[in-house]
Amino acid sequence: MPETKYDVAIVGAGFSGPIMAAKIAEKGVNPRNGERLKVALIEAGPYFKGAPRPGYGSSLRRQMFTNLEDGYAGTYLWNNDRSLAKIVGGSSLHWGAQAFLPFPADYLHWQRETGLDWTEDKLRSAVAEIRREFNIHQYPDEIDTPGNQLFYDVAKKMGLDPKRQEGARRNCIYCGFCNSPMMCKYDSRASTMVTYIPVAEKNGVDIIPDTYVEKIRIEARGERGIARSLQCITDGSRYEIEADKIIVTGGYMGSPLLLLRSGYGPREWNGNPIIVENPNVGKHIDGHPRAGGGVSALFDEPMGDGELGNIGGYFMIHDDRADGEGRLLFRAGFGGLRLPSQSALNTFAPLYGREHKKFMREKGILRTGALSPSVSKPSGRWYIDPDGKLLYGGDHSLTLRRVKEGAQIAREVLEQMGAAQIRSARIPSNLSPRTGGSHRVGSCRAGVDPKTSVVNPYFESHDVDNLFVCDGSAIPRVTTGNTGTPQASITVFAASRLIERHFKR
Amino acid sequence: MSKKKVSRRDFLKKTGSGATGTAVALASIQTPQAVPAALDVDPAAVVSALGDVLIPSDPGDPGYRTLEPYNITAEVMKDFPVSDEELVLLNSQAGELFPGKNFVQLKERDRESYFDSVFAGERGEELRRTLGRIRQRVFRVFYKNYPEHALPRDGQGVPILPPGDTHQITNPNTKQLATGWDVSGFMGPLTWEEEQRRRSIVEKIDWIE
Repeated sequence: MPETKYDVAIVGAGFSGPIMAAKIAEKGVNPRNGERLKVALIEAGPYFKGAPRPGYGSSLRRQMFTNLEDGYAGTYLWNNDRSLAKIVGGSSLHWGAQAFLPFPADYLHWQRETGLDWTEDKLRSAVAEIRREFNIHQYPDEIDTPGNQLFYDVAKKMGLDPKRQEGARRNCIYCGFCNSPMMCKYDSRASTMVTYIPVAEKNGVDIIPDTYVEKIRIEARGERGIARSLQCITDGSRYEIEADKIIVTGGYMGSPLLLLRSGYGPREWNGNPIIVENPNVGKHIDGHPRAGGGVSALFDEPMGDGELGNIGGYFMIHDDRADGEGRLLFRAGFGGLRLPSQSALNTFAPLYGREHKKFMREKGILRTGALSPSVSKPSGRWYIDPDGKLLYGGDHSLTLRRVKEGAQIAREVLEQMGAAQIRSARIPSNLSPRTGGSHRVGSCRAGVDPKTSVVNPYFESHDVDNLFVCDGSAIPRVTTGNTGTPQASITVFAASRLIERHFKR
Repeated sequence: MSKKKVSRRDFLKKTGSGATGTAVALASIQTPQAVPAALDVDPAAVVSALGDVLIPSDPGDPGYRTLEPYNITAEVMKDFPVSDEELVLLNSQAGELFPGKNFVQLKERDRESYFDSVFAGERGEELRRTLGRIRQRVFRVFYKNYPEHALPRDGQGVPILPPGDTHQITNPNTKQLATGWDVSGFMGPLTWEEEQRRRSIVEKIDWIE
């Protein structure tokens, strides 16, 4: 059983928790006596330890991350939801490792949405750190496919702005299993497991896996509260971990649900009683909705040789407004290999029979590709309703208009590329009340006004002393691409702010 | 493994839904003796027949039927995306094209004709979706390499590797049985030799020690 008293307890060891733990343990000190801090990093899922060796992997992780589609990877997820990982390293272990560090419009949106001072200048060193630690760089020329190169040339000629994607990988051997929820067997995909967990361990952080935090014990003081301890369950035993400072990094669902279970949130919550009210907990969730619009193409000749798997692709940004709302992000990939279970269901695979088997045997998938627009600055927002359901609301007209425009642009590019067949994915007519999505943020968003946010620009709860939220749930607007590396950058930034204000002599 | 229970009234409605013309639909609804025979079909027999068309087997070219001795149909029917009633309807509607027969009773060529008709939407949108969901499930099971898709695990869920393994190679595929990966020429999780080969490629272009 772990010790039960810490200076700092961090709940959730996914994309953000290990960064906070490592940096606070390494750079912070107890402000009262200048001593090293006792830090706990608590995670509901398992911890597969081992010194990282990018390109090879550690023996335990090589054994556990099997690259098999046997359903076992679901045990590392909350409710089998691919966006909610439950393992030390979290979704940084199974994300696509495509890096989209913040764009200029992303900083402006954060500032505009809730008045934050998160400028490009202030986050510069945090972003640089993540670029370095995650080894973010463009996929090399040598692994590019002829199909990708054709796309680039055609898109450029059409006056569009294609760029090669950046990956967050070190010594990737292109095994072809970069498929959520498969974890990287070779420690190559940048994750907090291979970057910040070793630093956390070296600096004495107590990593406490397989431990569910039921609630934060908050003492009410009038309309405000003070966070005192965590009620935890490990191996069926309940106990309390006391901490002077409690940092929540449970993810866009985990963090608000923990606050709600602790009695901190909107008055209308139908679960346990609310003892400190903030109507913004579980609200204003921004992200990338699944709104269809992907356009696939079949070519007469292979677009790649299938020698290596998951070789990366290109992206393009398309705006039709100066403020970046309704921004389209196109992802392009041509001639890449997929797993057989994916190839078998490709839109161009014959429906059945010997023709289908021929498509599989001859790797017909190499003759396909896709240009998929997603609305990376949509008009809708998710929210957790009083019964805990995740629903999607708002006016979706901008989102639906833009995804249709994106599909049209994609089709034109593919026609110019000489595609033999083009097929578009269906675009729904409405996105409410339930629409899937990815890269969701904002459920405990940061902002200057306590009436419209949960934490302040320094990640401190507006209403509960000693409580902080420092993960994607604090980010008020979704970024242009995947939120992984922006979230990691903001977490480094958060750590520096917390150290400056709370862990300095 | 029914996904959902359909009432007798709903089933009668569906029996009439694939037919053209109101008179035929009414005749189907008003002839109760048509219903009991359809409900007597073994769902597993229907799935097996469907799988055989989806992934045919020929001499020297294994397919779905090759894996029947390994209970692939039982595996497909776990988390099955259609109800028994939908399956029975899919089976019985073949009689619209081939009077007096259901799908299981058809020969291969006629089964393929029925498939073409259903996928083209000629037998109704509901039937097309039913067959589409079954297709997805069958392809997923087969091409995830059933029955060589998983390794045995200990009580803690740790995969048990072959004796003598020193590189944690987690590939259950063998040469003894032709499975989905073999049909598609996929090697599965990399062997140590293949890892080394790829490392030697990447070391020349993008490697940091």
